[in-house]
Amino acid sequence: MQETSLLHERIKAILLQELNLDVPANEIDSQTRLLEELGLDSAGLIQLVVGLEEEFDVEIDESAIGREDIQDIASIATFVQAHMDGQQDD
Amino acid sequence: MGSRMTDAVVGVAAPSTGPEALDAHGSMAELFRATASQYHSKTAIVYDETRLTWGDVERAVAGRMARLAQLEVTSGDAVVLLLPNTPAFAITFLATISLGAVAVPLNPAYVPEEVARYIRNASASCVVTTDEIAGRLRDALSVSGVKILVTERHGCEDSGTAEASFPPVTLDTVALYGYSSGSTGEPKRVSRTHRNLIAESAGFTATVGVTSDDVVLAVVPLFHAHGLGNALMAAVRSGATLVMEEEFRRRPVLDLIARERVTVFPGVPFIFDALADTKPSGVTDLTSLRLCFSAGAHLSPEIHRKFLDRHGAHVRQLYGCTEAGSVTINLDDDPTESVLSVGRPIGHGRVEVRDEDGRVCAPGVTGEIAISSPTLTQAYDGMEEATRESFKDGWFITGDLGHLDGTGALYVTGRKKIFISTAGNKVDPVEVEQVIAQHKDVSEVVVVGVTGPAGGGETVKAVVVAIGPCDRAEIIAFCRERLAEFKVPRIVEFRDAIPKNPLGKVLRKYLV
Repeated sequence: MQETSLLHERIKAILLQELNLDVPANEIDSQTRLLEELGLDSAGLIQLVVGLEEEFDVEIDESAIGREDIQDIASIATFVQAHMDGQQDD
Repeated sequence: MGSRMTDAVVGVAAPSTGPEALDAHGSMAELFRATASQYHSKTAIVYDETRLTWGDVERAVAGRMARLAQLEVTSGDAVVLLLPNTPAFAITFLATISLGAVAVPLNPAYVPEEVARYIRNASASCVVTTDEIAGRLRDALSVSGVKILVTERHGCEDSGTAEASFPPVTLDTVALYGYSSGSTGEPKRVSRTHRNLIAESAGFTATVGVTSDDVVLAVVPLFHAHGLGNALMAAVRSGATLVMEEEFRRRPVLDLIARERVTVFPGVPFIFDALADTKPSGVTDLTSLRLCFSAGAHLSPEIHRKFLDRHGAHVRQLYGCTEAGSVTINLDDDPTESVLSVGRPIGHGRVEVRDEDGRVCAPGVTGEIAISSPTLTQAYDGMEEATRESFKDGWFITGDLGHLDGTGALYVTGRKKIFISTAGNKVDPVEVEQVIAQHKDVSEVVVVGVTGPAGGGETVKAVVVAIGPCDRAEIIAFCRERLAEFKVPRIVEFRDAIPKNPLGKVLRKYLV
């Protein structure tokens, strides 16, 4: 299990890099609403998943991601952690 | 045009192949029937678990024609297609144009306000869509008063035949309304005739060498000129098999290419970039791919290299537009060195690069790209000024900047018009500005495109001068209610003033 704050920071870095967000890092926290506040769209979601796969060495099917999984960094962290745990179990 | 006499020694590109015999068919409908007859038992469409032969498609098209006729659709009527990549799209498109009616494919991701605007613009008499999309767009569809045909995704549910009583469809019958991004916020409608579409499908299949042995992947939207021309119409012309995918998902697409032995893959840079970064699940054999080509935005050498390294196939560039369909393609044996080139004209198309006075530029000199082709429309419907600006002596002045090299290969290097290319979509910044300007707390707004991630094209950015307490989330939410998601800004920057020159012109370079 990754330490939560470290996991959140790594996901935030991916968000900023993959989505080309011109937003100061200190304006994004674990509860920033990605769809509503950062304008995450379907193309952005694929860019985000590509970044997550590379960073965490997991395989993610983007069609398995529900709206609730990408509400904010905290929900993405939960989703990624579950994937990492699941793929370690396999 | 007399000046063309000097074409041989200045910057004019000749077609990629010698002149091929254009079809003798009297309409796209006739061409489709000929293909359906010749390849009756061969697979035409693969979609999920559905496999349709050309004979199945012909029967379904006859049924859909009868159904449209029952809804009083007749020659010259506009039929809006609000459909994802499904057999229903192909069947409805072919049925519509076979009736002599005009197909108007629209992006199903549009919000109700946008759909209502296009329906009004096209004076559509009928909308064909799925149950799910009809539910989401209920307001737009009920207000406009058009007839609604809700179709199954497979599109094969109608039976019967629509016989005889329709006026004959000719080469000059309008088959398609396409919409080109406008520079005024208002989309520009282009009418393309059966002659244009036959020329496009014949030119493309002959130049690229698409045959009935090919399997063409349709993952780029069929409502867009790229998917419609280079996937659907190419298959209709050649008898190739069309493998359809409703939405782009990376590993399912890779699996589909391997399973169906896809040979021709039209895509956009965003798709090729995402696939280049994706390890297939297990052993995925993509050796069937013989032609991958990208359109809609600039393809970087980096994406070409990554895709080649990962999947063993070159991605080439194709250049086209709503007004003419596909115009050029890079078919160099090894395009590694020429990857930035969009290649040479397709079919009987011609390309020139012109300076500001309209003179043809020498090779290597950058100017505005002009095209002439039997695939080209001749006007923007009902927009005389825009037509005068862009259509001159049978040539279309694209607004794109580029140059030809000494061999006649075209390089697109920029654009005069200010569209924003996002992941496979064109966004008119003026349209987004007009929406944001309606917000009560906004006094001024300028929308620009900023360089995005490597393969993602540009990112939409709004620079806002606020006169009230609105924030980024408020602007994004406001746009989401009124614009399709690909037009919604990801970046919203608040400033005290918009930088302008002494004449009041916005200095966009200080906003990106």
